[in-house]
Amino acid sequence: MSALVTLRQAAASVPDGALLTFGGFQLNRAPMALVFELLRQRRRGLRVVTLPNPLPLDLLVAGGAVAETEFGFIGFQFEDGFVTAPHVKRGIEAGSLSFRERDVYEIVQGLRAAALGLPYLQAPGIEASDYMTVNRTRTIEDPATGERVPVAPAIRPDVALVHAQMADRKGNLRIDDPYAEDLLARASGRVVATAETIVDRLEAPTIPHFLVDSVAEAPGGAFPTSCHHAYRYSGSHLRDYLAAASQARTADYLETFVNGPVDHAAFLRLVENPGRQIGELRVPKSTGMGGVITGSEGTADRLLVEMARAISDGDVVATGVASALPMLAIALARATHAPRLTYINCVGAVNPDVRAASPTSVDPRLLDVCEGTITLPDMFDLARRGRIDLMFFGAAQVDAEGRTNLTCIGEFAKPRVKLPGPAGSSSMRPYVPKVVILVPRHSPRSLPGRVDFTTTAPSPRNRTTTVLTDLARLDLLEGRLRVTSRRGGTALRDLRDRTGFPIEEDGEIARAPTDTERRALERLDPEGLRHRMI
Amino acid sequence: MVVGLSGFSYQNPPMAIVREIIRRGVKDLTVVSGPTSGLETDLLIGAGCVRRVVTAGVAFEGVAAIAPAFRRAAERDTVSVWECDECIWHLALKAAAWDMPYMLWRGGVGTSLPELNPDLEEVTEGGRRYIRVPPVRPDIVFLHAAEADPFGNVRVAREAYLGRTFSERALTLACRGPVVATVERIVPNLNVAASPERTIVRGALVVPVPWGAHPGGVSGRYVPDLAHYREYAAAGEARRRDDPVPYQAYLERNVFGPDGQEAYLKQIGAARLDRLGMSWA
Amino acid sequence: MGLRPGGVHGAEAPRTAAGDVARLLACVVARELSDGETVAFGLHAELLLAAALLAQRLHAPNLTIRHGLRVERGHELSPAAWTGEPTSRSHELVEYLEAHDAILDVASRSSPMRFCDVFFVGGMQIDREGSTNLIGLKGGDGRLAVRGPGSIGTTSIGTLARHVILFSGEHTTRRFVERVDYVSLPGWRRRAAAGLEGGPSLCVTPLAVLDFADGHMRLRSVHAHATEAEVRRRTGFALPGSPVRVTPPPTAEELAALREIDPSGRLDTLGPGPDGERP
Repeated sequence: MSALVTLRQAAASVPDGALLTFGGFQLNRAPMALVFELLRQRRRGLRVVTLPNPLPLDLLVAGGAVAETEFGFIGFQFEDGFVTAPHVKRGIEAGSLSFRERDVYEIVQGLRAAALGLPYLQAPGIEASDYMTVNRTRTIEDPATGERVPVAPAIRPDVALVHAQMADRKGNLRIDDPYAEDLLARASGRVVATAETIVDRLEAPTIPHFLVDSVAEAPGGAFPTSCHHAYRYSGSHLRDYLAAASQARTADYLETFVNGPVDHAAFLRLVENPGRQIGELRVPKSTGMGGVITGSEGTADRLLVEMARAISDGDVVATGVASALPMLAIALARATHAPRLTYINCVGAVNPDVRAASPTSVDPRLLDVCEGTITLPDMFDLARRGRIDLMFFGAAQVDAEGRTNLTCIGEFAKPRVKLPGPAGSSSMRPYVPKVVILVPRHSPRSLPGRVDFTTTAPSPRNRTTTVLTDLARLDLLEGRLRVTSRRGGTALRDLRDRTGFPIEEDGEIARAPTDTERRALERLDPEGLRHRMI
Repeated sequence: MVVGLSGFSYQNPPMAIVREIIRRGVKDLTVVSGPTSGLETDLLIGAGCVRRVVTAGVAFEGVAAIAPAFRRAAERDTVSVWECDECIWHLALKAAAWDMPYMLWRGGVGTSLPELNPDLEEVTEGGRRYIRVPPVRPDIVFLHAAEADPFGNVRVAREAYLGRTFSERALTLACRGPVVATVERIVPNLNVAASPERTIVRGALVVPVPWGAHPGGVSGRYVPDLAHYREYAAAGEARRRDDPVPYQAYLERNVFGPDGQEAYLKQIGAARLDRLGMSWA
Repeated sequence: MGLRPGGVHGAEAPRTAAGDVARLLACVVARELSDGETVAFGLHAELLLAAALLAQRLHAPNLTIRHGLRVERGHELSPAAWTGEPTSRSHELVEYLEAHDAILDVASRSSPMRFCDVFFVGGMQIDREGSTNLIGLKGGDGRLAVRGPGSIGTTSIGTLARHVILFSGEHTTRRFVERVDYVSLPGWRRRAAAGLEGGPSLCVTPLAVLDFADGHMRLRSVHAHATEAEVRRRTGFALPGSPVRVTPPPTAEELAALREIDPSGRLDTLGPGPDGERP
C-alpha cells in the first residue's frame, strides 16, 4: 500500500478550518513546503495549535489563513538576535488574531490526553501564573492531597504536518532530530508528511507507516528552517522575511514567494540554494529580550561568570528555548569548576559537546555530539520527578517578589507589547530547586515593583532563586529580592535608581571574572559572539 | 519494599537476580512485574518473598494457564493481588513517571476490578464512567536485557525477533531509585551510538550475567527453556495439591544449591544451554 | 513459509482429529477478518495467528497482526517467542521497535493509531451476555476458590476495541455459565450499564459458532462433527437460535493455504491456552 502523493495532493488533503499542528522545533525542520503550498492553495480558517515552532504559524498568519491559534512560545533566536514572530505579534497587539497562550507543558499534556483517549490530563506547575485566570483553567482535586490541580483538556489536531529527512513508499518516516513527532502522530487524526528523499524501504523508522496518512517528496521541504544533516536554516531568507514584516511589505513577500512560484520547486529556484552555508555573522540589529546593545564588553563576561558560578559540580542543569547565553555559561562551568555537571538541552541533547558559543541554543547539530537524547515531553516529566537541579530562565520583567513576565506589557488580550510567551517556564520553574533568571538590562522597566503579567512565580519547592543582571545579583530571601552583590563600580544609589522596587541592602562587590574563567571564555568564544548576545 | 521486575511471560525475566534475592531471604516484597509476569514472579512467590503482587497476570503460555505458586498463594490469601489488566498496569507506572495524581481510563468499568482492587475507583467525569488509576512507584527496578555499554545504556539485540520491548522503560521512568540491568554482554559505547534506536533504558547500573534470564529467553539471543518451565510447573502444581517435595527439590537444585549464576548454569548443563542459543545458518 | 531448516517441503506431521478441529476453527476465524483491519489476540496465539495468516493469504492481504510483534505476510507460524524454536528468523520481518505500552493506543479515537480493530478474547468462564472471567472462580462460600491467571490484556483492549470476538478452546458447562463469578471483560448488559456501547459480536468454540442478539448469546451454526443437542447440553444457559446451520467446513483453498502456513503440522500439536484447554 503506497502512501506516496504529490506535495499538491498532500496540502490539498488539509481542509479549510482544520485543526493543524506541526512537527519540528524552533528553526528546525518545520514543514515549510507544506505551509507554502497551503497558502498557494488559498487555505482559510485554519486553527493552529503548536509547540515552540514559530515560523509556520507566522507565515500562515501573514497569509491570512489562520482563524485562531494556540501556542506556548512564539520567539526564536538566531545570529541577528531574538525575534518574536512578527505577524503573530502584530495580530495580537492589534486585537485581530484570536489566540490562546498557555505553557507548553499544558499543550503537551493535552496532546498526551488525546493520544490516550482521555478527556484531559493534569498539568501541575502553572497554579501560580496568571494563565490560570486569563485561560479560566479548570482545576481538579488530587484525591491524595486534597489540593486543586490544573487540568489540560485533550488536544486532538485533525492533521499533523511533518517534514522528515527520509521516507519510504509505505509511509515510514526517518527523522534524524525527533522532537515531539511521535506524540503529535499519536494525538492527531492524520499525519501528512514530506521528506527530503523517498526510498524503497526504510529500516528502523522513527515514525512507523501505520501512523502516517500520506507522504510527498519535497527536497528543501523545511526551508527556510533547517533540516538536520541536509541544510542549516537560512539566515538571509529569515532576514528578508523579517524585513518585509517590519516594513509593512508582507504582501510583497507573499507575492514573491507564495503566489509567484507555481510550485515548491520553483520556489526553491527563487531562494538561495539551501545547501549553502549561512553567511558570515553580522552585528545584530536587535538583541536580547526587549533590550538594546549595552555597549559594555565586560557585561557579557560578568554575566556568564555569575551564571556559571551558580552551578555546583554534579548538578543536572537544563536550558529551554532561546538560551544561547546560558548554554555558553554551562560550557564555562564545565570547563572550570563543574566538570561533572550534566547538561540537558531542550533540543533533545543530553551532555552535548559544546565547544563554542552559538547564536542559537537549539542547533540540531548538538544531537550529533551528545551522550544521549531526550524528547521535549520527557523533559517536563524529568523536572517533575525532581531530576533537574538548576534551570536558567529568561524574563522581560522580574518584580520585587520574584515573579517573571514573558507574556505581555499591558493587557493580556490586547497588549501594548506582545512578548514571546512562557515556553515551558511557568510549569517547570516550580519543580527546579535552583532557579536562575537572566535579566541582562537592569532598569526600572525590567525590574518593576510588580510585573504586568505573572508568567512564572516562586514556589516552596525552590531552594534558591537568583536574578542576574548586568549590574547585580539578587536573591529571593523571605519572599523578596535582595541584592547579594553588585558590579564593581556601581554606586548603590545608581542601582536604586535603576530598580523599580526599593533596595535596602548594599550587597558585596561581585568578584570579577578570574583569569581561569576569562581564559576559558576566550577558548570557548574567540570571536566574541557573547558580546552581541546581550 | 516495592520491587519492579522486567519480563513479559517468557521474555527477559531477571532470573539470576531473582534467585539471588531468594537466597538472601528477603521477605514482604511488593513485586511490580509484567504487565504479564512469568517465572520471576512465581518463583519469588513460591519462595515466600512476596506479600503483594502488582501484575495483570502470571502465566506460562502454552505450559501452564495459571502460574502455580501465584495460584496457591492467592487461593490461600498469603499474597494479595493488585487486580488490574495490562493497560491499567501501564497507566499506574505512567502516572508515576509523569507525576500525575492519577490517570483516568475507560477500561475496567463494568468489571470486578474496582471491587477487588480498592486503589481503582470508578468515577464519572463529563458524563462518562472511568476507572481512576493511581501512581505505582517502584523503589528499585531489576531488568534483564541483551546488552549494555559501560555507561548504563541498555539495549536489545539486533536479532530481536519481537517487534516490541516490554516494560523496561515504563518501570525505569516510574522508579524512585536505582535501575539495575543484568545483561548478556557489555558492548562499547560506539556500538550504542551507531544504532541508538536499540537503546531502551539509560542510566542503569549494569552487570554482565550471561544466561541471566534462564529459563526465560532473551529475544535474539536464546529461546525459553520450555522443558524447564514444564518441570517447574509440575513441581508447583504438586505443591498446590499438598505435595511439597518436588517444589522443594526444585528450589534446592536451582536456587539454594548453587551459590550463584555460574554454579546454576553448571547444573543446568552446557549441552542444554547450547540447544537454546539462537543461530542462523 | 515456515522456516524450519531441514524440513522437506510437503512432508507433514500426522493429522489428528484435534488438528482438524483447529484447522476448522482457523478457517472460521479467518472468515471474520476483513482486509485493512488490525487484529490482536491475547490467547491461543498459534491457532489465531494461523487464522490471521490464512485471512491474509485469501481475502485480507492488508491485515495487520499484532501479538507481541508486527507480523508480515509469510511470517512464521511458530516464532521463537512462544515456541522455543531457536532458528526463528522473525527478526528479519520486524519493521519497528515499539514498547508494550503502545497497547494504550486502543483508547485513542484518532485512527489509524488504534492498537487493534478486532480483538480475540476468552476466559475461564464466558457468560450468556458475553462477559468473560480470567480472575477466578468462587467457592460455595462465595469467596475465591480457584485463582485464574488475571485479566492480562483483555479488559481494556476488549472494552475499547471496535470489534470483539470471543474464542474458547472448550465448550463445556463449566466454561459457558449463566453469569461469570468475576468480570474481566463486561458483556452486553454490563457494558450498557457502564455507559459503553456494543458488545462482543461472535463466540467461536470447538463445537459451534455463536452470535449475539438483544445482548444474549445464541446459536448461529454447529460444526459438522458436533450436534445441536450436544452444544445445548454443554452450554450452561438456554441458547436461542433455530433452525441452526452447519458451520461451512474448510474449503480446498483454505486447506491448501493452511498447509503452506503450517507445513509441519503445529496445529496438530497445540498446547493448552490460558483458558486451560487445547481446542
